[in-house]
Amino acid sequence: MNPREMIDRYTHEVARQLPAKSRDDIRQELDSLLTEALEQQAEKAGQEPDEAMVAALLQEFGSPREISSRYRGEEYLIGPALFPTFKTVATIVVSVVVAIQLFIFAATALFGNASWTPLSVGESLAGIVSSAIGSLMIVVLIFAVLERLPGNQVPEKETWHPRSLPPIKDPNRIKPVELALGIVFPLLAIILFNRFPYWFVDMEAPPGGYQFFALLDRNFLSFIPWLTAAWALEIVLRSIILAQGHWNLGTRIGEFLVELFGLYVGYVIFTGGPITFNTGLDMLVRFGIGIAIVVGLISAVFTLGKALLTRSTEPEATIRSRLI
Amino acid sequence: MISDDAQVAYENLALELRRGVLVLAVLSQLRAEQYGYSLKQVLDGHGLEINEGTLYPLLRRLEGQGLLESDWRVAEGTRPRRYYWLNADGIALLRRLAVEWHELGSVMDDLLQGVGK
Repeated sequence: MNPREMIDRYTHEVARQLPAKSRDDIRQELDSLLTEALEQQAEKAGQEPDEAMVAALLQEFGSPREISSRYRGEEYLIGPALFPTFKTVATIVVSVVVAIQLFIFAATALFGNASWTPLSVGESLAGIVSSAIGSLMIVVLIFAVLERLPGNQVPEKETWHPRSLPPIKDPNRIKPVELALGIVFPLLAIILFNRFPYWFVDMEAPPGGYQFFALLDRNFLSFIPWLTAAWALEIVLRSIILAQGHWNLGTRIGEFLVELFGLYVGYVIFTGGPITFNTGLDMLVRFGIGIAIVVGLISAVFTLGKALLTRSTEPEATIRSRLI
Repeated sequence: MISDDAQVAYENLALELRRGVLVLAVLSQLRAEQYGYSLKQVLDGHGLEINEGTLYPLLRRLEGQGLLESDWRVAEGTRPRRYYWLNADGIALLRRLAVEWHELGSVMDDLLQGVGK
């Protein structure tokens, strides 16, 4: 290849990767600069420019991709300013899409008439994966567009005040109000469902007893011991956490186990005969329980992850101040 | 004997250090009109060797930041060359950076007394 052609190919390759508006101008400038550098080198060497000389010059200069990226500066599909929001939104969207698909898959498996073969199961699972990827791509696309709207980039110099810094969250700090409510409501449920089942279940009320929301089927009575056990476990766990004043590995694993038991109870109800005597309503309630099971499964996985990954019991700053 | 890791760390840090002063060095020599290759030779002549693949995009970026003016010129018997020079904003910025540099240099001299000599 003659030197001229090599330079032409090089500048073309660099320019090809640049925005159209500056492409020709940069190419022309590069051509002029490289040609001059080559002539100077040839003069110093006392010979005509040859392929080896121009190849060495271009090697020294840098690969076309490297040079074009230097001309373009830093580029992001989704920049640092939007990335944390993108991550949260993407996680939620993909989780919800997968949860819905899993629920449909589970419902079809349990109640559908289709016969399942390894191939059809594989196809269904592939469908779930492709919906997850598809939904992720949509989120990426939306954020890539948002990234290009004015005002969404990190400014060179951001106005902020140290007072606006958020407090450090202790991952093991408890929320007493939340825990207290988590004791009160299950306790109320235990009392109501065990003491006044006829309020909710279509059954004979004792003399003087009223029936308020008796939409549940008689069969539901068989679920009440299960529910009572699940609620009682929740009460015991939350009481222990409140007494300890903070979360620890034991209570986090306990929470995971209680959630698992709750899921099992959900499964028992989901598969255990009529819930309400109205067929339409029954289907609706069952659908709701199905979604709750899927969401509960995801929540249980998060709980387990939290249990295994949460290490420090107090903020690092507190530990450091104590060391000093 | 310097280990390979220490040598790599030295090369990276030295490169970073030189990159840090590059803009100031380039601006200082653009008080007079220069085109890319002539600017490289001037800097080389002062002992600051800089890769052309770094220098030429830098000129464009400085121009994009509104610090330089540029124009294509054709001197007799030569090929067209794009010349760059500091505009008013560039000159003001160079002055401020030079003051910063002198102050920093004085502090660093003080901090590095007896080191590397």
